[in-house]
Amino acid sequence: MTDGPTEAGGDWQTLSSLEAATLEAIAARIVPGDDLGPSAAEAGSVVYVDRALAGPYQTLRTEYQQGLAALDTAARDSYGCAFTRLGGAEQDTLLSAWETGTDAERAFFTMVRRHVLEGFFADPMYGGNQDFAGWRLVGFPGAVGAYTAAEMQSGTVLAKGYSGLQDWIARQTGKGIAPA
Amino acid sequence: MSRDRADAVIVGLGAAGGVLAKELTTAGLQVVALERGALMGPSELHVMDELGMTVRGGLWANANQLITRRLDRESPSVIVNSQAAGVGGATLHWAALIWRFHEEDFYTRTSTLERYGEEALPPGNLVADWPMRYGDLAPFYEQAEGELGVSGVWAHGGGNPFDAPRDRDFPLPPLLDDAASRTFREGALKLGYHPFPGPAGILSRDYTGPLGIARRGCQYCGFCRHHACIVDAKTSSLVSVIPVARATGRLDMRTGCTAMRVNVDATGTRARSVSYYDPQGALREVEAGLVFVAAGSVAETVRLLLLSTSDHHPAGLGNASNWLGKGFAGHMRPSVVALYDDRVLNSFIGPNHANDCIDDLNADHFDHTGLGFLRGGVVFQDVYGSGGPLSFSEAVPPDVPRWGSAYKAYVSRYFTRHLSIGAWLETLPHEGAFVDLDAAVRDRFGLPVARITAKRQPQDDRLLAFMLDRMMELAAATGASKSWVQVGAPLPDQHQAGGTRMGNDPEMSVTNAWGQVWDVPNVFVASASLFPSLTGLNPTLTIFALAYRQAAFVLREAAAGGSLARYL
Repeated sequence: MTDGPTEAGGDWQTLSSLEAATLEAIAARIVPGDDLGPSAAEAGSVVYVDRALAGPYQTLRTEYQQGLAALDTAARDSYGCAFTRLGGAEQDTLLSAWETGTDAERAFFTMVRRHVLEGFFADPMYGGNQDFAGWRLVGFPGAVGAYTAAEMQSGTVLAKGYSGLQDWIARQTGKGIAPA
Repeated sequence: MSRDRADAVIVGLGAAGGVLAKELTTAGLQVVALERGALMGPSELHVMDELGMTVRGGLWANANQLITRRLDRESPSVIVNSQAAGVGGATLHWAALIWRFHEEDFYTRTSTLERYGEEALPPGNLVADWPMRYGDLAPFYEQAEGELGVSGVWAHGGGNPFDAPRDRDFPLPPLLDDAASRTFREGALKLGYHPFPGPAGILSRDYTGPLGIARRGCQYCGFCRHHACIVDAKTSSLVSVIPVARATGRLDMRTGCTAMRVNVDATGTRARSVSYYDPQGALREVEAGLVFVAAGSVAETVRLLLLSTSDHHPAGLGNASNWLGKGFAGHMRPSVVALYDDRVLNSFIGPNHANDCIDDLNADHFDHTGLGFLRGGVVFQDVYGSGGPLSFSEAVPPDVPRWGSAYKAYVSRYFTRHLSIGAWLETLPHEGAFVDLDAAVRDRFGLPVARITAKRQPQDDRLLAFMLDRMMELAAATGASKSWVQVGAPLPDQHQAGGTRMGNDPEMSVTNAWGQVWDVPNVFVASASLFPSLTGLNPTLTIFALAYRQAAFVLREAAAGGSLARYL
């Protein structure tokens, strides 16, 4: 890997293709795909991180670059291939080691886990939680704007449909609540 | 060149500043309000966004309003955000739990000494009685409740049996009940407590009230804490008193303006102007007949006075007694999370903080003999964080992995099956807790920022341990299949109070009972910094009520022949 900033690859704004692929592999271990629903990678967590690194998280660009590179190096050292080429169990082993490893490893793991979950559960307008994958998983209708007394008492997971903030804003036009 | 002058200059347009602006302008005074933050509109405020608001502090995380915090004199300070948020202040995004303080909270020192003796008060404590009684403030509590619009039920109708006496019921009935509140209530009743609907500064139905401003009732959208209200049902000074002030035409609201000093005249006994940085960073000065320092969270109010040094006030304005900055106290906020396998709660719905509460473990409502600590706090049904999935993603019991398949299954099952039990625990002001200036950290104008020094004292640790046991017991009594302490080591820095304490003795306080600075009679403080003690209840209604009371005093004294007439 080079010492300077990596070139953004393909459709990514800040991440290189390899960085994005590695991050997607990590995201798919943090929230794996299974019967309950898509993985965080499929839900677009890395799209979220990529956009965040172009904006409010831009000061973390170096941490991501160095951490992803170091993780890939660790994979090659331990298993002889890139992190993205490992099976899930090996990826979990490496991530678990980092979760309790050196200060730098723990800091990187903590940060990535947090950001992957942000991408999974934040409003879709941030790039992740695509098709409300995160909200569907937990039964959170999102920015619906109102619940009825019956819904509050229902005692059941709501099947109300999902709404992002922008969906709600679009519905407000003409209702007397000023849109964005 | 024309002079820039106002009858009254108010620094800060939060809870207290908003009330003062309304009361003074409607009485005919010309008022300039200096507000560091912005006047926000619907596009910034009518937003439901857990990432933007709760996680990233969209309404307050701002590099222009940093303070520092440290545990004690030996510890390093860390830079933190203050909760200020522009016009409306913290009332834009508060959780809106709204209380009248208990009758005895106005004389905590005397009642503690009488009941438990001198030895019960911890060494170094600075607890003092208030220079007023509940009866002095009651009419202003009622005025605030009516004008702001608050929802609840009085003791006679099933409300808090420990409530201070009221002449009439709340202007609006309680917010709607839900499964989570019922769950909490059943557990509380089982243990012999007296649960009641949390009194809320949130309209439970459409309301106009004495201000003549029609506002919609709560829609239970679930994006309440950390958010401004999408329908303005949650009361902020921005949607209640400030529009009334603006409609008079006598409020000159200057946003993006950072006050940096109250200037006094050559005698040192009269404030003559307030210096401030305008939005372009130019230093300006506005002359003032009266000055009100309502700069919100304690830290900025104290800071402005500390920065207002002069020959006559070398240690800051109002500091002749050496009490400026002292007597700081804040709430500890512990949290227990409870999971349920036998029911779905959907606790994310609604203003998740304004749910059922118990006051049985607050103040001196239970016998503290032999317990080794004093006081207590309100305990309430809550959610973790703001109640949404991002907040819940961190509410993981110790025996569940924090990522992977088991984690995914956990959040999937329990997001709709959890509630939290929270508490606001009183801490006592003491010698080790104070506000001063941090010479090592400067704002963009080169001025030292405010620094809060505070940590848990042995009294706080003992109270905390007791309350965590009670909260876990309560979780079990509600039928939780699992519960754990999610926040067990909180700092005593929420709902900050003290720093410009009120008193009857100029040697032991910064202001008199009206919030009037002893040394300089045309300077007033309107903030929780006035509180000589805190109690285990959210402070905002008391901040509002004190501002109404202060305004009434000022307008009385401003009339011909009154003590303040000569300043106008």
